[in-house]
Amino acid sequence: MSALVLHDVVRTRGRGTRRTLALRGVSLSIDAGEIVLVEGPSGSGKTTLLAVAGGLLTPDRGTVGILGRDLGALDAAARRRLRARSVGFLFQRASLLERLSVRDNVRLAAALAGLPPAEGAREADALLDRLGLAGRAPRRPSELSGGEEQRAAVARALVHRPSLVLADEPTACLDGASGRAVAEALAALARERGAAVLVATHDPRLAPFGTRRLSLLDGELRAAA
Amino acid sequence: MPGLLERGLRGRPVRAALTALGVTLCALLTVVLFAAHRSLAAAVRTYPGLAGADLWVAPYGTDNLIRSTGVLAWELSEEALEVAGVAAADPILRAFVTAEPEAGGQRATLLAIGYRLPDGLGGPPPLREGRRPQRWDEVVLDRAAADRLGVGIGSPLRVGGLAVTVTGLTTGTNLLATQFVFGDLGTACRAAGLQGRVSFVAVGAAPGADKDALARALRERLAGTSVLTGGEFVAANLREVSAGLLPLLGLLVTLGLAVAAVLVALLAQGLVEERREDLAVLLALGVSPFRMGAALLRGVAALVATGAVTGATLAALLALALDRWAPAVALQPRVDDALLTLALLVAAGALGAALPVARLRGVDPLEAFRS
Repeated sequence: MSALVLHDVVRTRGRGTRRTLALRGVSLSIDAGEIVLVEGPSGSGKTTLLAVAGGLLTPDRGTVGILGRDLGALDAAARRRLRARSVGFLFQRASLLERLSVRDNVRLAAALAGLPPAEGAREADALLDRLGLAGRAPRRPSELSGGEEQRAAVARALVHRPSLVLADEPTACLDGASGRAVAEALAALARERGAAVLVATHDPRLAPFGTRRLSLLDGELRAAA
Repeated sequence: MPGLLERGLRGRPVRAALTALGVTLCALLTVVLFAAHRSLAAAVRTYPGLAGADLWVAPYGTDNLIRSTGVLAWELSEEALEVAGVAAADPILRAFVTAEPEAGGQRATLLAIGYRLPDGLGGPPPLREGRRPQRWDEVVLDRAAADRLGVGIGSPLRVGGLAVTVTGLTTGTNLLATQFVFGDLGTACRAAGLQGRVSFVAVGAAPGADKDALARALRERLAGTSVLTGGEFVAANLREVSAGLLPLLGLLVTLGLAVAAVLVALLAQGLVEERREDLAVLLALGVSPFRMGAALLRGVAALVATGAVTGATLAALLALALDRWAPAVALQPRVDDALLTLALLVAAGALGAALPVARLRGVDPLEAFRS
């Protein structure tokens, strides 16, 4: 079963005379273990695609399914539950909560997904260790470098073993080495855990890690050249 | 999980600490106001409750010690004794007098109670220390009054210009603005310039007598007077004190609660405005606005409860310190008042946080992508 299926999705953005089509009949299917890179210039609809795929926006037309469940048939609370349990998010900035330690940031995502506290803590520690952040786990996010923060965000995105990871320009704010480290970590862990990954990016450093490359231009999705 | 979410949503530590301090001060103010009222209420209850009288005969229209302008003829007590069922009837004078130490110093206006020495009805409540007056030139006075005047047991004192000696000290007789002094009826009449006139007649019922029936009989016999049972007299005194004080206390408590609500609102509003990106991320991760609001409210409740408990504790410590070093300011903090304060402050805090919490609905999880 595909982790994510979009069928003929249309979504507009803006209002009145500024209303434009962000997604024009987009269809996409991603299986477990796949890493799909969606490239495109700013304003091409990449973020809208991620938001629709994650159930944060509802399509004006078409269907979105995660693990075979049609998001359109679910109410807001059920979509939230599905998102918490089955989807991991990685944003352009790490966006960790400053009031929590790195470890607790990761544990929070596990708890939101419904993992028992002991299991969540075990998963968080294992992931942080794997990402070379074991020594940084008790620290506050502001004490970490940008690359370390984003790797901690990778741990947060994967701690609950989601079926789908949605990443929005995850390396855009990082230098070369840090960006590569984050990309490697995301790709390796997602494969190990059998997660499907949809990455919106225009960072060429990510190209080697994708199993498929797509291009989004003016809301239309095509295979990348 | 609630713990993690609440900790994650905490505001800036210094701002939270300042808010908690503000709530602490509001709680301190509220508990102190309650305690001052309790102290005053206890003072107006102590004397009439422990004076040994079953019934009080007062000038018509008078029903309390605090405001009593009419007077009765001294002989009225003899007339009361003739009523069947009356075992004792003693005249009492209540008047404001000026007291000052014999050696000079600070003056104080006290509420003098003159009664028949040595054991007539209407005498002082059990003493804290010393002995009751035995002679016309001896008095006992409230401990706070003694502190104000700088006198103690054995000290010479001038009350209404008459030289007397302090033989004992009472407690529970501090009306905050003034205090009680107890002495010989004749001395009190001379000091107040009211010869042959008294304020009340304290009546003791014979064993087994029906007090309500006795009150009716006294009303019939003593025309132009009010006759009150002990319970009615105490209730009327409480009502008199509360009527003047409670509206002001209510206003001050309301203002204190409003200040606490505004402080909490500022904290919550700052949190919602400054942590918008975090809130958007949490929404994207699957936290519902309701759950986030509940976490925010729990955090506010914890902060307010901390402030309230600290404030109530400080009020208790303040009461102990005042009792030790400034007894004129009498406070009687009580656990039920502290609990009421806690409940009021939590309600005020929830009210203050309501608008910022409602604004959580305006946070769009898509903002997590745009940060």
